[in-house]
Amino acid sequence: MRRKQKIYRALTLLWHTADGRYVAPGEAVSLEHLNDEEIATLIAMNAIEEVKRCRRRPVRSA
Amino acid sequence: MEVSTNGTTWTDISGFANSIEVSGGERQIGEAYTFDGDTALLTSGKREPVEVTVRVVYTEGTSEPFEVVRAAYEDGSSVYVRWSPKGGSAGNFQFTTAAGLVSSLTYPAGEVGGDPVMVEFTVKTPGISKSVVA
Repeated sequence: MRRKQKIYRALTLLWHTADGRYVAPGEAVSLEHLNDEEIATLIAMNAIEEVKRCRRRPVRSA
Repeated sequence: MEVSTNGTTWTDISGFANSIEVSGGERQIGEAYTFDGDTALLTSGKREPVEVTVRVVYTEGTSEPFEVVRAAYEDGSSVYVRWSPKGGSAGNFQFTTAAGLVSSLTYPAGEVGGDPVMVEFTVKTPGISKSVVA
């Protein structure tokens, strides 16, 4: 079963240890190298937020 | 704690450094008193440079802190310092200086004895920025 890949958006300046670069506020960032507890800590301190994808609604022709 | 000469490639000096002091950075604030009111009117100016002083063990390796900082001191080239007080794990804060210049460096000196020789360098930088380790 394929694991859902969650994307997070930085809310403050982050130092991304896996990529070795700074992530500016507003930028999307992948946090696969962190465990759930570390991600929860970052969310609790308002450093990141989860980007929730909206489901595409089927387009209805007029 | 890490240093860099370009702001991109960082060298870990946690195994060499044992103290860091930060001073300076006062914001210039103007004041004026008027006939009305009991207190001063304050105006905000710019922040003065910050000085970051780090003590490291004296060693002679080319990529080790004394040699890296000595070269930048003698050249007048940029040095960056950054440190994470709580250890650098995800969620900890990290403080990074802007490109600074080495304003002073103590060359190795000391008396005969068993203690390792320590040297101290000071980086004068326009400011320090905070980020979160992810």
